[in-house]
Amino acid sequence: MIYTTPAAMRSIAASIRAGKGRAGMSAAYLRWKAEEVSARPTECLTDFVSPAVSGDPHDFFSEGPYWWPDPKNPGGPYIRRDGEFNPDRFEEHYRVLHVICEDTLTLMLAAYHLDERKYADAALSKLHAFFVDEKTRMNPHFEYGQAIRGVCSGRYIGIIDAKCLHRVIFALDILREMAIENETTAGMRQWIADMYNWLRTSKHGIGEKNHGNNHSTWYIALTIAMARFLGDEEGFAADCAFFCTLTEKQLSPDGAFTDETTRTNAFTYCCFNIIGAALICEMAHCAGVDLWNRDFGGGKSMSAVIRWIAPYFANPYSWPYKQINGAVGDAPMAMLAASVRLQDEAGRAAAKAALDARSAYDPWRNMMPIGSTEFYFAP
Amino acid sequence: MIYANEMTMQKIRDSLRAGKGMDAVHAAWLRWRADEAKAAPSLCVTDYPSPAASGDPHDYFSEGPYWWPDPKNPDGPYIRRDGETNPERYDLHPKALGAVCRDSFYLLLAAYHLGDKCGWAERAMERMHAFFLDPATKMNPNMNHGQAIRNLTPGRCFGIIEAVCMHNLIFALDLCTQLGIENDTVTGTKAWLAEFNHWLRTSPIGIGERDSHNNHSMWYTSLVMALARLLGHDDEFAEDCGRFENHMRRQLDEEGKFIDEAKRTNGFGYCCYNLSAAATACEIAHFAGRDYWNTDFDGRSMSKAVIWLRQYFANPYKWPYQQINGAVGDAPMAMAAAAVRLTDEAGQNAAKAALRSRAAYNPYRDSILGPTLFHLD
Repeated sequence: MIYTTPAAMRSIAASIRAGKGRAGMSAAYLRWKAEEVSARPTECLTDFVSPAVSGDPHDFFSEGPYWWPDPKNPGGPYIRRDGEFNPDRFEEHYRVLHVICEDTLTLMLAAYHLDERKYADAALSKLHAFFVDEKTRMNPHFEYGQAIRGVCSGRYIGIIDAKCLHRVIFALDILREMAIENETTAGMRQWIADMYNWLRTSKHGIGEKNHGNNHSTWYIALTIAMARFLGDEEGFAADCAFFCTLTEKQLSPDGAFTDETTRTNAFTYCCFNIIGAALICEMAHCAGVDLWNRDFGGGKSMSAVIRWIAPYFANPYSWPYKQINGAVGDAPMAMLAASVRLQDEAGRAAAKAALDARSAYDPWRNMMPIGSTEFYFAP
Repeated sequence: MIYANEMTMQKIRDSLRAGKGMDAVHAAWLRWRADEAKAAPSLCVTDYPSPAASGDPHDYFSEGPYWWPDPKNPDGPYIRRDGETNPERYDLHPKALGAVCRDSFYLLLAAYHLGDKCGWAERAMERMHAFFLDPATKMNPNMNHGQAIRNLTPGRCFGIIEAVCMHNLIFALDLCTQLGIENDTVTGTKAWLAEFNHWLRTSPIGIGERDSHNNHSMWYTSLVMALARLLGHDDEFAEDCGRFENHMRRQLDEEGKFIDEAKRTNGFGYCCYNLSAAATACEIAHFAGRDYWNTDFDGRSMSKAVIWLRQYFANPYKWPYQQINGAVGDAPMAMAAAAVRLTDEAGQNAAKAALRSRAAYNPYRDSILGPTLFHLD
């Protein structure tokens, strides 16, 4: 599998079905969420008219979150205020895309772990409406993502919003693991293949790949997941190599992501990039490739990253860069994975210390083996 | 009841047993905690030999957490390093006391809410009997040797802070009443608490803690209030309320800052800790018919304290004082109670906002089954 192993899935299912202790809670939680999601009507892009220049209701459209009217030039091009979300931006497509991605994975986890075919059927029905059905489907591209009024009709920067598709890919992986195949799964495979092709060959896709910072990290995470799903081994290998080069460029010798530390919410952006990198390392691990312990050059490595960030989890007050929204950065699943995968003791110790630091104020850490995380850790 | 409203408890119990939606998750959580508590070993003070000056293995013993050897005088009295917990300090009795109080609470809470088909109540009786009543293993009803300091003192009033876990025990006994559980263990444990209550109120160490000036006296007051309610001592309760009112007048400034807590090396944590103590006292008073949540104490109030602290939950980087252990302060149950109890909009909004900011990683923020000391209605 892509994000985990069949053995891990079976083991978690067994404890959930036995329902003892914490797993009993997970079972109840999963069932509750699956029932809630099943009862929800499916919202598609076509339900919301957007100002995409194509005029095509099947095209995903969104506006850059940090862009605002210019007080000095009111009708003119918007200006950027990093870290400040503009509440007037068009975000219905973004919202429904994220809902379908989360709902699909919730349903497939429930279907698998609780052995309930009805949840798989619900997931297939939602996927069909959102991605396959001619009347309501989303076109497989992000041409009009993160448009800016008065500046552009869409930018490659918008591809960051595609990362929610990891949940769909995981859901499809579970369908495959459950040997469920039908017109919808075939349609989904085609959709992923088309999106993959767009990401790799379009001007936007290439631009995002080469942008640098967390955008490139998350782009590669998505193409890696898709390459694994579609069986593109060459693409997968090339992406792993690109990740190594990209990460080496982004890192300072002591393990800081230098493009993230300059942001107005630097702590959360560093965590965001670490999570993307950890996700890539986990997917590579599941494919038998060890990026967790790779030396990217000059001693730069995932261990260095973890050792750099861990003290700030232990003492956020010592964060030396900006965080204008006051949030405290966090990357629990990345730290959990690192605490197991890193071979050097200092790296593992730092990851464990990061996990322990959370427990003081978060008694629910590790409460559920199914979180709303980008990936599903399998030790 | 002392910490809750009977009708609310019944409603919660009914929903948990119906087990619809999220209630199924809550019920599973409670079952898990109770099963864990049931499996936990029955460890008593006598299981852990201690250097208590009395030499009595039934005497509770602990050492002050922030006390360390003096490098300039290695064989002399320990010295204080506020906020730096000495990992070598003796803490086996505090852990055992905390465990019996917490485990008894979860066991009886589960028996109440889910019905006792699993021997939960029986296990709670076994634990309480061993820890407080069995002549071979019981703890004496005092803390004369709490927070001792090596080469300085055999015990201090500050050790009484470690009795705060008894709120769990008192709630557990309150649940026994609700469940109609009457036996020698329940009677005996209440009698033990009556003796402890007497010691708290009349011993030099107890009085010392009562008259201390910060979170220690606030927590002490919350505990004696609960004991007065458990034992039906109305006069004591009225006196305790008077003391609580004084704490509110003296410990807060007009902006809502706990003056002595903010000065600590872990000021954020201590402000939260004292707010939790005050909230506990307010809740106990609420169920006795007194509204301290919405009282003005010479310009000081719970609302102001909530609003003041909330700004730092929203942006911990703005904390202007010390927090040497790096932890980010939190007081979820105090905020949950405040969100329901405060009648002024600003206070309510601050409490609700504080709860929302935790929501991102805490799916149980609405759960009434968290590690709480009280249920809300």
